[in-house]
Amino acid sequence: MEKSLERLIERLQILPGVGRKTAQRLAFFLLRIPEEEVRGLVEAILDAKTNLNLCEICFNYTKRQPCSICGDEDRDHSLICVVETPAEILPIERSGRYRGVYHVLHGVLSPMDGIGPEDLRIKELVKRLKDTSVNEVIIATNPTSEGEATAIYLARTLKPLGVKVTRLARGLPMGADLDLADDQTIWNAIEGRREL
Amino acid sequence: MSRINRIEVDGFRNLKGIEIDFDPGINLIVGENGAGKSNLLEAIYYLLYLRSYRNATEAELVNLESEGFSLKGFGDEDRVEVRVRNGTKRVFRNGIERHRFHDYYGWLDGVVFSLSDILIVRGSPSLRRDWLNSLLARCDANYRLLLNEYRSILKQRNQLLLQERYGPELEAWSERLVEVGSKVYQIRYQTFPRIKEWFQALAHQLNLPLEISYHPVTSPERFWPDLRRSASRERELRLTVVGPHRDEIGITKAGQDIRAYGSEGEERLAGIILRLVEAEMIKARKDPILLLDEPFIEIDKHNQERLKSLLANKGQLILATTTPDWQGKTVRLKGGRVEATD
Repeated sequence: MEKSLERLIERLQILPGVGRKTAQRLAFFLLRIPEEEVRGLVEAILDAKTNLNLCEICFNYTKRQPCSICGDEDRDHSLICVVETPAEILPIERSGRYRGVYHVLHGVLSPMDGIGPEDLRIKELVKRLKDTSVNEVIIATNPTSEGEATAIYLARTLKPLGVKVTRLARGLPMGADLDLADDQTIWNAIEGRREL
Repeated sequence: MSRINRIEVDGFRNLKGIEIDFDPGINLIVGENGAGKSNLLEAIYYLLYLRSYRNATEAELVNLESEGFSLKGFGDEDRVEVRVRNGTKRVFRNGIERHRFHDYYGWLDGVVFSLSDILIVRGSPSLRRDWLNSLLARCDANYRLLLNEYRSILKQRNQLLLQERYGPELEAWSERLVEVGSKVYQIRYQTFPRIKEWFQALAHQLNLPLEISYHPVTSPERFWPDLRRSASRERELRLTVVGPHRDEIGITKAGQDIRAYGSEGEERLAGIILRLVEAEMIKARKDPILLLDEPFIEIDKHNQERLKSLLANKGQLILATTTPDWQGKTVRLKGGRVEATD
Protein backbone atom coordinates (compact mmCIF):
# COMPACT_ATOMS: atom_id res chain seq x y z
CA MET A 1 0.00 0.00 0.00
CA GLU A 2 1.09 3.60 -0.71
CA LYS A 3 2.84 5.17 2.28
CA SER A 4 0.54 8.24 2.28
CA LEU A 5 -2.53 6.08 2.31
CA GLU A 6 -1.16 3.88 5.08
CA ARG A 7 -0.39 6.97 7.15
CA LEU A 8 -3.86 8.42 6.65
CA ILE A 9 -5.52 5.18 7.75
CA GLU A 10 -3.32 5.03 10.80
CA ARG A 11 -4.06 8.64 11.79
CA LEU A 12 -7.81 8.25 11.38
CA GLN A 13 -7.76 5.51 13.97
CA ILE A 14 -7.12 8.01 16.78
CA LEU A 15 -10.82 8.91 16.49
CA PRO A 16 -13.02 7.21 19.08
CA GLY A 17 -14.94 4.22 17.73
CA VAL A 18 -12.88 4.07 14.56
CA GLY A 19 -11.04 0.83 13.98
CA ARG A 20 -8.91 -0.24 11.04
CA LYS A 21 -11.85 -1.13 8.84
CA THR A 22 -13.74 2.12 9.35
CA ALA A 23 -10.49 4.07 8.98
CA GLN A 24 -9.95 2.45 5.59
CA ARG A 25 -13.45 3.32 4.48
CA LEU A 26 -13.02 6.92 5.62
CA ALA A 27 -9.62 7.18 3.91
CA PHE A 28 -10.98 6.02 0.56
CA PHE A 29 -13.94 8.35 0.97
CA LEU A 30 -11.63 11.31 1.56
CA LEU A 31 -9.62 10.40 -1.55
CA ARG A 32 -12.77 10.26 -3.65
CA ILE A 33 -14.31 13.65 -2.71
CA PRO A 34 -13.18 17.02 -4.23
CA GLU A 35 -10.01 18.54 -2.83
CA GLU A 36 -11.76 21.68 -1.54
CA GLU A 37 -14.04 19.53 0.61
CA VAL A 38 -11.01 17.96 2.27
CA ARG A 39 -9.33 21.32 2.64
CA GLY A 40 -12.47 22.68 4.30
CA LEU A 41 -12.52 19.81 6.76
CA VAL A 42 -8.85 20.17 7.65
CA GLU A 43 -9.22 23.92 8.10
CA ALA A 44 -12.28 23.49 10.31
CA ILE A 45 -10.42 21.03 12.52
CA LEU A 46 -7.35 23.25 12.76
CA ASP A 47 -9.41 26.37 13.37
CA ALA A 48 -11.38 24.75 16.19
CA LYS A 49 -8.26 23.27 17.70
CA THR A 50 -6.19 26.45 17.67
CA ASN A 51 -8.90 28.99 18.44
CA LEU A 52 -11.09 27.20 20.96
CA ASN A 53 -10.14 27.17 24.62
CA LEU A 54 -11.99 26.39 27.79
CA CYS A 55 -14.00 29.28 29.18
CA GLU A 56 -12.35 30.40 32.43
CA ILE A 57 -15.72 30.50 34.15
CA CYS A 58 -17.82 27.58 32.93
CA PHE A 59 -15.21 25.44 31.06
CA ASN A 60 -17.25 25.21 27.88
CA TYR A 61 -15.28 25.57 24.63
CA THR A 62 -15.04 29.17 23.47
CA LYS A 63 -13.12 31.53 21.21
CA ARG A 64 -13.39 34.51 23.57
CA GLN A 65 -12.97 34.87 27.32
CA PRO A 66 -15.43 34.59 28.89
CA CYS A 67 -17.67 32.56 26.56
CA SER A 68 -20.77 34.07 24.95
CA ILE A 69 -23.05 32.56 27.60
CA CYS A 70 -21.00 33.66 30.61
CA GLY A 71 -20.56 37.09 29.02
CA ASP A 72 -24.29 37.55 28.38
CA GLU A 73 -25.61 40.20 30.76
CA ASP A 74 -29.20 39.16 30.11
CA ARG A 75 -28.71 35.67 31.49
CA ASP A 76 -29.37 34.71 35.08
CA HIS A 77 -25.93 34.25 36.64
CA SER A 78 -27.37 33.12 39.95
CA LEU A 79 -28.58 29.89 38.33
CA ILE A 80 -25.96 27.33 37.27
CA CYS A 81 -26.65 24.13 35.38
CA VAL A 82 -23.90 21.52 35.88
CA VAL A 83 -23.29 19.16 32.93
CA GLU A 84 -20.86 16.31 32.26
CA THR A 85 -19.51 17.50 28.91
CA PRO A 86 -19.78 20.54 26.60
CA ALA A 87 -21.92 18.43 24.26
CA GLU A 88 -24.74 18.47 26.80
CA ILE A 89 -25.07 22.25 26.68
CA LEU A 90 -26.27 22.11 23.08
CA PRO A 91 -29.60 20.31 23.69
CA ILE A 92 -30.41 22.52 26.68
CA GLU A 93 -29.67 25.67 24.66
CA ARG A 94 -31.73 24.35 21.76
CA SER A 95 -34.78 24.28 24.03
CA GLY A 96 -34.43 28.08 24.18
CA ARG A 97 -36.02 28.26 27.62
CA TYR A 98 -33.10 28.02 29.98
CA ARG A 99 -31.83 31.48 30.97
CA GLY A 100 -29.19 30.51 33.53
CA VAL A 101 -25.52 29.72 32.95
CA TYR A 102 -23.52 26.47 32.91
CA HIS A 103 -20.63 24.63 34.48
CA VAL A 104 -18.93 21.77 32.63
CA LEU A 105 -17.39 19.04 34.80
CA HIS A 106 -15.55 17.31 31.93
CA GLY A 107 -16.45 13.85 33.17
CA VAL A 108 -18.12 11.97 36.02
CA LEU A 109 -16.88 10.05 39.04
CA SER A 110 -15.80 6.56 38.03
CA PRO A 111 -13.38 4.68 40.30
CA MET A 112 -13.09 1.90 37.69
CA ASP A 113 -11.65 4.43 35.24
CA GLY A 114 -9.59 6.09 37.94
CA ILE A 115 -11.65 9.27 37.86
CA GLY A 116 -12.13 10.98 41.22
CA PRO A 117 -13.40 14.43 42.25
CA GLU A 118 -9.96 15.98 41.72
CA ASP A 119 -10.14 15.03 38.02
CA LEU A 120 -13.36 16.99 37.50
CA ARG A 121 -13.89 20.77 37.53
CA ILE A 122 -15.43 20.65 41.00
CA LYS A 123 -12.90 22.84 42.83
CA GLU A 124 -13.61 25.52 40.24
CA LEU A 125 -17.36 25.20 40.78
CA VAL A 126 -16.94 25.58 44.54
CA LYS A 127 -14.81 28.68 43.95
CA ARG A 128 -17.48 30.08 41.65
CA LEU A 129 -20.11 29.66 44.33
CA LYS A 130 -17.94 31.36 46.90
CA ASP A 131 -16.92 34.26 44.66
CA THR A 132 -20.26 35.11 43.08
CA SER A 133 -23.83 35.12 44.32
CA VAL A 134 -25.48 31.91 43.17
CA ASN A 135 -28.94 30.89 44.36
CA GLU A 136 -29.39 27.52 42.73
CA VAL A 137 -27.33 24.77 41.12
CA ILE A 138 -29.16 22.33 38.82
CA ILE A 139 -27.28 19.07 38.49
CA ALA A 140 -27.83 17.70 34.99
CA THR A 141 -25.43 14.75 34.93
CA ASN A 142 -26.73 11.72 33.05
CA PRO A 143 -28.90 9.13 34.82
CA THR A 144 -26.14 6.49 34.80
CA SER A 145 -24.63 4.96 37.96
CA GLU A 146 -21.70 7.35 37.62
CA GLY A 147 -23.85 10.38 36.84
CA GLU A 148 -26.04 9.71 39.90
CA ALA A 149 -23.06 9.21 42.23
CA THR A 150 -21.53 12.44 40.91
CA ALA A 151 -24.82 14.24 41.57
CA ILE A 152 -24.84 12.99 45.15
CA TYR A 153 -21.21 13.97 45.64
CA LEU A 154 -21.92 17.47 44.31
CA ALA A 155 -25.02 17.88 46.47
CA ARG A 156 -23.03 16.87 49.55
CA THR A 157 -20.22 19.28 48.63
CA LEU A 158 -22.32 22.27 47.59
CA LYS A 159 -25.19 22.30 50.09
CA PRO A 160 -22.98 23.34 53.03
CA LEU A 161 -22.17 26.49 51.01
CA GLY A 162 -25.77 27.57 51.47
CA VAL A 163 -26.90 27.09 47.88
CA LYS A 164 -30.04 25.35 46.69
CA VAL A 165 -29.12 22.13 44.81
CA THR A 166 -31.62 20.48 42.48
CA ARG A 167 -31.51 17.45 40.20
CA LEU A 168 -32.88 17.33 36.67
CA ALA A 169 -36.13 15.36 36.55
CA ARG A 170 -36.24 12.26 34.43
CA GLY A 171 -39.36 11.07 32.73
CA LEU A 172 -41.36 10.58 29.60
CA PRO A 173 -40.42 12.60 26.55
CA MET A 174 -42.96 15.14 25.28
CA GLY A 175 -45.59 13.52 23.11
CA ALA A 176 -44.32 10.01 23.86
CA ASP A 177 -46.82 7.21 24.15
CA LEU A 178 -46.68 5.29 27.40
CA ASP A 179 -46.63 1.98 25.56
CA LEU A 180 -43.63 2.97 23.47
CA ALA A 181 -41.42 4.03 26.38
CA ASP A 182 -38.93 1.55 27.80
CA ASP A 183 -39.24 0.13 31.31
CA GLN A 184 -36.57 2.38 32.77
CA THR A 185 -38.16 5.56 31.44
CA ILE A 186 -41.58 4.60 32.72
CA TRP A 187 -40.17 3.75 36.12
CA ASN A 188 -38.29 7.05 36.28
CA ALA A 189 -41.45 8.89 35.37
CA ILE A 190 -43.36 7.12 38.13
CA GLU A 191 -40.63 7.80 40.67
CA GLY A 192 -40.35 11.44 39.64
CA ARG A 193 -44.14 12.02 39.71
CA ARG A 194 -45.47 15.24 41.24
CA GLU A 195 -48.66 16.22 42.96
CA LEU A 196 -51.33 17.97 40.91
CA MET B 1 -53.89 -21.78 28.80
CA SER B 2 -50.80 -21.03 26.75
CA ARG B 3 -48.95 -23.64 24.81
CA ILE B 4 -46.84 -24.42 21.81
CA ASN B 5 -48.68 -26.45 19.19
CA ARG B 6 -45.95 -27.07 16.67
CA ILE B 7 -42.26 -26.55 16.13
CA GLU B 8 -39.97 -26.75 13.08
CA VAL B 9 -36.22 -26.88 13.59
CA ASP B 10 -33.38 -27.05 11.11
CA GLY B 11 -29.64 -26.64 11.64
CA PHE B 12 -29.91 -26.03 15.38
CA ARG B 13 -27.18 -28.11 17.08
CA ASN B 14 -27.63 -31.64 15.67
CA LEU B 15 -31.31 -31.19 14.78
CA LYS B 16 -32.23 -31.56 11.09
CA GLY B 17 -35.60 -31.16 9.39
CA ILE B 18 -37.57 -31.53 12.61
CA GLU B 19 -41.33 -31.01 12.49
CA ILE B 20 -43.30 -31.87 15.59
CA ASP B 21 -46.93 -31.29 16.56
CA PHE B 22 -47.28 -31.16 20.32
CA ASP B 23 -50.06 -32.36 22.54
CA PRO B 24 -51.56 -29.67 24.81
CA GLY B 25 -50.81 -31.96 27.76
CA ILE B 26 -47.88 -34.31 28.22
CA ASN B 27 -45.22 -34.77 25.52
CA LEU B 28 -42.35 -37.22 25.85
CA ILE B 29 -39.21 -36.73 23.78
CA VAL B 30 -37.37 -40.00 23.84
CA GLY B 31 -34.18 -41.35 22.33
CA GLU B 32 -30.71 -42.47 23.21
CA ASN B 33 -27.86 -40.24 24.36
CA GLY B 34 -26.95 -37.78 21.63
CA ALA B 35 -30.26 -38.20 19.82
CA GLY B 36 -30.98 -34.48 20.33
CA LYS B 37 -33.54 -34.53 23.17
CA SER B 38 -31.95 -31.75 25.21
CA ASN B 39 -31.19 -29.83 22.03
CA LEU B 40 -34.90 -29.85 21.20
CA LEU B 41 -35.74 -28.39 24.63
CA GLU B 42 -33.04 -25.80 24.08
CA ALA B 43 -34.55 -24.93 20.67
CA ILE B 44 -38.00 -24.43 22.20
CA TYR B 45 -36.51 -22.24 24.93
CA TYR B 46 -34.65 -20.28 22.26
CA LEU B 47 -37.93 -19.59 20.46
CA LEU B 48 -39.27 -18.14 23.72
CA TYR B 49 -36.33 -16.04 24.89
CA LEU B 50 -33.92 -15.82 21.91
CA ARG B 51 -31.06 -17.27 23.90
CA SER B 52 -29.82 -20.62 25.10
CA TYR B 53 -30.58 -21.67 28.67
CA ARG B 54 -27.24 -23.47 28.59
CA ASN B 55 -25.57 -20.12 27.89
CA ALA B 56 -24.31 -21.20 24.49
CA THR B 57 -23.46 -18.55 21.90
CA GLU B 58 -25.24 -18.43 18.54
CA ALA B 59 -22.12 -19.79 16.86
CA GLU B 60 -22.21 -22.82 19.13
CA LEU B 61 -25.86 -23.44 18.36
CA VAL B 62 -25.32 -23.60 14.62
CA ASN B 63 -24.85 -27.09 13.23
CA LEU B 64 -21.26 -27.66 12.13
CA GLU B 65 -22.41 -28.56 8.61
CA SER B 66 -24.74 -25.59 8.09
CA GLU B 67 -24.33 -21.83 7.84
CA GLY B 68 -27.16 -21.10 10.22
CA PHE B 69 -30.35 -22.40 11.72
CA SER B 70 -34.04 -21.70 11.48
CA LEU B 71 -36.74 -22.22 14.08
CA LYS B 72 -40.49 -21.88 13.73
CA GLY B 73 -43.00 -22.01 16.54
CA PHE B 74 -46.78 -22.04 16.47
CA GLY B 75 -48.70 -20.99 19.56
CA ASP B 76 -52.43 -20.58 20.06
CA GLU B 77 -52.41 -17.06 18.67
CA ASP B 78 -48.89 -16.43 17.47
CA ARG B 79 -46.57 -17.67 14.79
CA VAL B 80 -42.88 -16.99 15.44
CA GLU B 81 -39.75 -17.54 13.43
CA VAL B 82 -36.03 -17.11 14.06
CA ARG B 83 -33.38 -17.20 11.35
CA VAL B 84 -29.71 -17.13 12.24
CA ARG B 85 -27.39 -17.05 9.25
CA ASN B 86 -23.73 -16.00 9.02
CA GLY B 87 -23.85 -14.46 12.46
CA THR B 88 -26.96 -12.33 11.91
CA LYS B 89 -30.18 -13.03 13.72
CA ARG B 90 -33.60 -12.11 12.36
CA VAL B 91 -36.76 -12.65 14.35
CA PHE B 92 -40.38 -12.57 13.22
CA ARG B 93 -43.65 -12.63 15.08
CA ASN B 94 -46.79 -13.14 13.05
CA GLY B 95 -44.90 -12.51 9.85
CA ILE B 96 -43.54 -9.12 10.90
CA GLU B 97 -39.82 -8.72 11.49
CA ARG B 98 -39.12 -7.47 15.01
CA HIS B 99 -36.04 -5.30 15.27
CA ARG B 100 -36.40 -4.85 19.01
CA PHE B 101 -36.48 -8.21 20.79
CA HIS B 102 -38.76 -6.49 23.28
CA ASP B 103 -41.49 -6.66 20.63
CA TYR B 104 -40.87 -10.35 20.09
CA TYR B 105 -40.99 -11.69 23.66
CA GLY B 106 -44.15 -12.54 25.50
CA TRP B 107 -45.84 -14.79 22.95
CA LEU B 108 -45.24 -17.70 25.32
CA ASP B 109 -43.50 -18.26 28.66
CA GLY B 110 -41.66 -21.34 29.76
CA VAL B 111 -39.63 -22.76 32.61
CA VAL B 112 -36.75 -25.15 32.08
CA PHE B 113 -35.97 -27.96 34.49
CA SER B 114 -32.42 -29.03 33.77
CA LEU B 115 -30.06 -31.54 35.34
CA SER B 116 -27.87 -28.74 36.64
CA ASP B 117 -30.72 -27.42 38.82
CA ILE B 118 -29.35 -29.62 41.59
CA LEU B 119 -26.45 -27.16 41.80
CA ILE B 120 -28.83 -24.41 42.93
CA VAL B 121 -29.64 -26.56 45.93
CA ARG B 122 -26.18 -27.94 46.51
CA GLY B 123 -23.84 -25.21 45.28
CA SER B 124 -22.61 -21.89 46.61
CA PRO B 125 -25.03 -19.22 47.95
CA SER B 126 -24.49 -17.15 44.81
CA LEU B 127 -26.30 -19.81 42.74
CA ARG B 128 -29.39 -19.56 44.96
CA ARG B 129 -29.20 -15.76 44.74
CA ASP B 130 -29.03 -16.07 40.95
CA TRP B 131 -32.14 -18.24 41.03
CA LEU B 132 -33.98 -15.72 43.22
CA ASN B 133 -32.85 -12.82 41.05
CA SER B 134 -33.96 -14.40 37.81
CA LEU B 135 -37.29 -15.37 39.34
CA LEU B 136 -37.91 -11.83 40.64
CA ALA B 137 -36.83 -10.33 37.33
CA ARG B 138 -39.41 -12.49 35.58
CA CYS B 139 -42.16 -11.29 37.89
CA ASP B 140 -41.12 -7.61 37.91
CA ALA B 141 -39.42 -5.99 34.92
CA ASN B 142 -38.17 -3.20 37.15
CA TYR B 143 -36.20 -5.65 39.31
CA ARG B 144 -33.74 -6.45 36.53
CA LEU B 145 -32.99 -2.74 36.04
CA LEU B 146 -32.52 -2.16 39.75
CA LEU B 147 -30.23 -5.16 40.02
CA ASN B 148 -28.05 -4.07 37.09
CA GLU B 149 -27.79 -0.60 38.58
CA TYR B 150 -26.94 -2.05 41.99
CA ARG B 151 -24.22 -4.23 40.51
CA SER B 152 -22.55 -1.38 38.70
CA ILE B 153 -22.60 0.80 41.85
CA LEU B 154 -21.18 -2.11 43.84
CA LYS B 155 -18.36 -2.59 41.35
CA GLN B 156 -17.41 1.09 41.50
CA ARG B 157 -17.62 1.21 45.27
CA ASN B 158 -15.49 -1.93 45.68
CA GLN B 159 -12.93 -0.33 43.42
CA LEU B 160 -12.69 2.64 45.81
CA LEU B 161 -12.28 0.29 48.78
CA LEU B 162 -9.61 -1.60 46.87
CA GLN B 163 -7.72 1.64 46.30
CA GLU B 164 -8.29 2.60 49.95
CA ARG B 165 -9.94 5.82 48.89
CA TYR B 166 -12.30 6.74 51.71
CA GLY B 167 -13.89 10.07 52.56
CA PRO B 168 -16.63 12.05 50.82
CA GLU B 169 -16.23 10.24 47.50
CA LEU B 170 -16.90 6.87 49.13
CA GLU B 171 -19.83 8.44 51.00
CA ALA B 172 -21.44 9.46 47.70
CA TRP B 173 -21.19 5.89 46.36
CA SER B 174 -22.46 4.53 49.69
CA GLU B 175 -25.52 6.75 49.54
CA ARG B 176 -26.28 5.53 46.05
CA LEU B 177 -25.66 1.89 47.07
CA VAL B 178 -28.16 2.21 49.91
CA GLU B 179 -30.67 4.04 47.73
CA VAL B 180 -30.74 1.36 45.03
CA GLY B 181 -29.99 -1.58 47.36
CA SER B 182 -32.98 -0.70 49.53
CA LYS B 183 -35.25 -0.95 46.52
CA VAL B 184 -33.81 -4.37 45.72
CA TYR B 185 -34.50 -5.34 49.34
CA GLN B 186 -38.05 -4.05 49.23
CA ILE B 187 -38.88 -6.35 46.32
CA ARG B 188 -37.14 -9.32 47.97
CA TYR B 189 -38.92 -8.76 51.29
CA GLN B 190 -42.26 -8.31 49.57
CA THR B 191 -42.02 -11.37 47.35
CA PHE B 192 -40.27 -13.96 49.49
CA PRO B 193 -43.29 -14.88 51.64
CA ARG B 194 -45.12 -15.91 48.45
CA ILE B 195 -42.11 -17.93 47.28
CA LYS B 196 -41.96 -19.63 50.66
CA GLU B 197 -45.66 -20.42 50.56
CA TRP B 198 -45.42 -22.02 47.14
CA PHE B 199 -42.32 -23.97 48.08
CA GLN B 200 -44.04 -25.34 51.18
CA ALA B 201 -47.22 -26.25 49.32
CA LEU B 202 -45.30 -28.08 46.60
CA ALA B 203 -43.05 -29.89 49.09
CA HIS B 204 -46.16 -30.89 50.99
CA GLN B 205 -47.75 -32.31 47.86
CA LEU B 206 -44.63 -34.39 47.32
CA ASN B 207 -44.77 -35.43 50.97
CA LEU B 208 -41.28 -34.05 51.63
CA PRO B 209 -40.33 -32.20 54.86
CA LEU B 210 -38.53 -29.46 52.91
CA GLU B 211 -38.54 -25.74 53.66
CA ILE B 212 -36.98 -22.65 52.15
CA SER B 213 -35.85 -19.61 54.12
CA TYR B 214 -34.49 -16.17 53.31
CA HIS B 215 -31.58 -14.73 55.29
CA PRO B 216 -31.07 -11.10 54.33
CA VAL B 217 -27.97 -9.44 55.82
CA THR B 218 -29.93 -6.24 56.36
CA SER B 219 -33.21 -4.49 55.50
CA PRO B 220 -34.20 -1.28 53.68
CA GLU B 221 -34.41 0.51 57.04
CA ARG B 222 -31.19 -0.84 58.52
CA PHE B 223 -29.06 -0.75 55.37
CA TRP B 224 -27.49 2.66 56.01
CA PRO B 225 -26.57 2.12 59.70
CA ASP B 226 -25.42 -1.45 58.98
CA LEU B 227 -23.23 -0.26 56.14
CA ARG B 228 -21.65 2.34 58.45
CA ARG B 229 -21.08 -0.24 61.14
CA SER B 230 -19.29 -2.48 58.64
CA ALA B 231 -16.66 0.20 57.86
CA SER B 232 -13.77 -1.46 59.66
CA ARG B 233 -14.52 -4.86 58.14
CA GLU B 234 -14.80 -3.20 54.72
CA ARG B 235 -11.37 -1.66 55.12
CA GLU B 236 -9.93 -4.95 56.22
CA LEU B 237 -11.44 -6.97 53.35
CA ARG B 238 -11.51 -4.05 50.89
CA LEU B 239 -15.00 -5.19 49.85
CA THR B 240 -18.61 -4.15 50.43
CA VAL B 241 -19.83 -6.72 52.95
CA VAL B 242 -23.39 -5.49 53.55
CA GLY B 243 -26.11 -5.55 50.91
CA PRO B 244 -28.40 -7.78 48.85
CA HIS B 245 -25.36 -9.30 47.14
CA ARG B 246 -24.56 -11.08 50.43
CA ASP B 247 -28.02 -12.49 51.23
CA GLU B 248 -28.44 -16.21 51.63
CA ILE B 249 -31.28 -18.57 50.83
CA GLY B 250 -31.41 -21.78 52.81
CA ILE B 251 -33.15 -25.06 52.02
CA THR B 252 -33.72 -27.37 54.93
CA LYS B 253 -34.97 -30.91 55.40
CA ALA B 254 -36.74 -31.37 58.74
CA GLY B 255 -34.97 -28.29 60.00
CA GLN B 256 -31.44 -29.32 58.91
CA ASP B 257 -29.40 -27.93 56.02
CA ILE B 258 -30.23 -30.13 53.03
CA ARG B 259 -26.65 -29.84 51.78
CA ALA B 260 -25.44 -31.76 54.82
CA TYR B 261 -28.42 -33.97 55.56
CA GLY B 262 -30.25 -34.56 52.30
CA SER B 263 -29.82 -37.41 49.85
CA GLU B 264 -29.01 -36.90 46.19
CA GLY B 265 -32.64 -37.68 45.29
CA GLU B 266 -33.94 -35.16 47.81
CA GLU B 267 -31.61 -32.50 46.45
CA ARG B 268 -32.92 -33.25 42.95
CA LEU B 269 -36.51 -32.95 44.14
CA ALA B 270 -35.71 -29.67 45.90
CA GLY B 271 -34.27 -28.40 42.60
CA ILE B 272 -37.48 -29.41 40.81
CA ILE B 273 -39.56 -27.63 43.46
CA LEU B 274 -37.53 -24.43 42.92
CA ARG B 275 -38.43 -24.52 39.22
CA LEU B 276 -42.08 -25.30 39.98
CA VAL B 277 -42.15 -22.26 42.29
CA GLU B 278 -40.85 -20.22 39.36
CA ALA B 279 -43.66 -21.58 37.17
CA GLU B 280 -46.29 -20.75 39.80
CA MET B 281 -44.98 -17.22 40.22
CA ILE B 282 -45.00 -16.58 36.47
CA LYS B 283 -48.56 -17.92 36.24
CA ALA B 284 -49.87 -14.65 37.64
CA ARG B 285 -49.11 -13.21 34.19
CA LYS B 286 -49.35 -16.14 31.82
CA ASP B 287 -49.32 -19.92 32.08
CA PRO B 288 -45.81 -21.15 31.29
CA ILE B 289 -45.03 -24.38 29.50
CA LEU B 290 -42.68 -26.70 31.37
CA LEU B 291 -39.58 -28.02 29.62
CA LEU B 292 -38.07 -30.87 31.60
CA ASP B 293 -34.76 -32.59 30.93
CA GLU B 294 -34.60 -36.02 32.59
CA PRO B 295 -36.63 -34.98 35.65
CA PHE B 296 -36.81 -38.48 37.16
CA ILE B 297 -33.12 -39.24 37.37
CA GLU B 298 -31.97 -40.41 40.82
CA ILE B 299 -35.53 -40.25 42.14
CA ASP B 300 -37.07 -43.43 43.56
CA LYS B 301 -40.24 -44.99 42.10
CA HIS B 302 -42.38 -43.81 44.97
CA ASN B 303 -41.38 -40.17 44.61
CA GLN B 304 -41.52 -40.46 40.82
CA GLU B 305 -45.21 -41.35 41.02
CA ARG B 306 -45.91 -38.41 43.32
CA LEU B 307 -43.99 -36.07 41.05
CA LYS B 308 -45.89 -37.33 38.01
CA SER B 309 -49.28 -36.73 39.57
CA LEU B 310 -48.11 -33.25 40.63
CA LEU B 311 -46.82 -32.41 37.14
CA ALA B 312 -49.84 -33.85 35.37
CA ASN B 313 -52.02 -30.78 36.01
CA LYS B 314 -49.38 -28.10 35.46
CA GLY B 315 -50.29 -27.31 31.87
CA GLN B 316 -48.24 -28.31 28.85
CA LEU B 317 -45.19 -30.45 29.57
CA ILE B 318 -42.39 -31.30 27.18
CA LEU B 319 -40.16 -33.84 28.75
CA ALA B 320 -36.90 -35.33 27.48
CA THR B 321 -36.12 -38.77 28.82
CA THR B 322 -34.31 -42.02 28.04
CA THR B 323 -36.85 -43.99 30.10
CA PRO B 324 -40.35 -43.11 28.90
CA ASP B 325 -42.59 -44.81 31.44
CA TRP B 326 -45.37 -42.27 31.36
CA GLN B 327 -48.56 -41.72 29.36
CA GLY B 328 -48.30 -38.96 26.77
CA LYS B 329 -47.58 -38.13 23.18
CA THR B 330 -44.23 -39.74 22.39
CA VAL B 331 -41.73 -38.41 19.88
CA ARG B 332 -38.71 -40.60 19.23
CA LEU B 333 -35.51 -38.87 18.09
CA LYS B 334 -32.50 -40.49 16.51
CA GLY B 335 -29.39 -38.73 15.21
CA GLY B 336 -31.09 -35.33 15.35
CA ARG B 337 -34.13 -36.43 13.34
CA VAL B 338 -37.62 -37.54 14.24
CA GLU B 339 -37.67 -41.32 13.95
CA ALA B 340 -41.23 -41.96 15.01
CA THR B 341 -44.22 -40.34 16.71
CA ASP B 342 -47.30 -41.82 18.27
